Amino acid sequence: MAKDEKVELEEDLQELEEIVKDLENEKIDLDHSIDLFERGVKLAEQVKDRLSNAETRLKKIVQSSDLDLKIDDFDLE
Amino acid sequence: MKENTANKFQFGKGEVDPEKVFTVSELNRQARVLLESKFSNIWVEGEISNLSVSSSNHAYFTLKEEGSEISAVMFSGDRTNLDLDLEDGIEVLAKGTLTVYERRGRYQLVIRDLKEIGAGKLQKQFEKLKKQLKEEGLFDVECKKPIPRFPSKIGVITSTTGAAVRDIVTTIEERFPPVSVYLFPVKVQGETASGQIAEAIRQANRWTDRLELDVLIVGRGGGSLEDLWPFNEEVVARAIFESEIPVVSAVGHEVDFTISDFVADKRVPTPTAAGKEVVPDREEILNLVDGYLQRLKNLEVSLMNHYREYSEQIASSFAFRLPFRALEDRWQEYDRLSSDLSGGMSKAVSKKKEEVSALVKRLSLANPTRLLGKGYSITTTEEGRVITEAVDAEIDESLKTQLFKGIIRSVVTEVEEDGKG
Repeated sequence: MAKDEKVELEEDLQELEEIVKDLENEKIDLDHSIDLFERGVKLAEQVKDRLSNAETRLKKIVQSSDLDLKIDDFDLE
Repeated sequence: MKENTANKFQFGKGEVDPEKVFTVSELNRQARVLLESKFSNIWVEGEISNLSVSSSNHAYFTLKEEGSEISAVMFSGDRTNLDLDLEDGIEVLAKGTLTVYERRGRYQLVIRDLKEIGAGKLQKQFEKLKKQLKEEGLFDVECKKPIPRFPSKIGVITSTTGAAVRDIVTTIEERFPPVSVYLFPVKVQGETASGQIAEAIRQANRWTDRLELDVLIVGRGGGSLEDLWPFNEEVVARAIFESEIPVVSAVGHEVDFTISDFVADKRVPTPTAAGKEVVPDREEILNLVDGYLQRLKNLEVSLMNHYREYSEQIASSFAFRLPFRALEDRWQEYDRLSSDLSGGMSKAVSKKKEEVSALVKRLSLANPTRLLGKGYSITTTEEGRVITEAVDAEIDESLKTQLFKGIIRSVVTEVEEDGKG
């Protein structure tokens, strides 16, 4: 997950929560409700996709100084 | 007088037997034998004071308590096995033999082994640094940074060989896989450890543009007070305090508290707990999202009911094709939506589609043009207002009648209010 995706995940969840609450409040006109409904379903799918298709990546800092940074893959033995 | 010493002589009120007069060295020797036999390999508790170390590395000091003291010596050979530095003020439990230093006629404790007890030197250092840093404000709650709810990159500063790194990484993998873990290998005990830990924290911040770490875990597994000591060093405390990246301190076991714990933005009792702290539980979030989906599904029904009413309103207010156009538009929207989606919700969408389809069927049964085919017709005013009751028409008014094919225009000649159609 890139940095912006992480932010998106949090924002998606927030938006999803707001959409569900707004829809449940029934103060929205029908056309807008349908749009919101679609958006909500899409967000939910998006979040689920992100969480399901990912594996933890392990990296090791093999060298770091103020001038130089070297990173390598890393496995738990 | 000399002759007298060889014979009995008067001394005060008693009589002196020259045979029983000790020389100084004899007395000291016998005292020594006596003490050594009586007080051999005993344990003594006391505080070290007046410590001085000779050039040959023997340590001379006093063991004391309130109101009493005893001289003590620890020879260099015994000191080499010692894992603590002798220092004035530390409370010790000493093992040794009481003896007499014959040259001076002083009795003293020859210490072979020694342990620090009570609030030892390290404990005192700890309390001192803790007090100092607290006064400086390094522990202030206002300075604590929040730990992000959804980190994507996590820095771990610990040893590659200990159990801690495994505990942290496996916990993260189990709870919330979609993250990257960046390990900074450092020593976590011994003299060089604190410098390495502090430097790793600085490097994580130094390279923040490239690494983009959201949170740092600094820690190690359990150990003795000495093992955990690097996390009580000032240099580590300051590095944690200066870190722009939030720091979670995970040192030792539940009961261990270190200076790092106090300075860090969050203290957790163990490395495993650190893994739990920095990432959310994926299952919880999936459940949350499923909960939202369920609520959306429930909303679908009422949404469809509204939609039906809305469509029927259109159908009844406008006799002709308009509602079907609107429905066709909707239909297309659902097609698009269902092709966008995959998985569970597309079911919900196709269900919706079926519902719309049923609605269209129902409406088309009521479709006026279909009825026209059976010989019914629709009569409207010239403006298109549907005439459903005779009283709505006026004599001489021109009306249009829609047939299955074509339109008839006619003029009203008579209105029968009660007439049966």
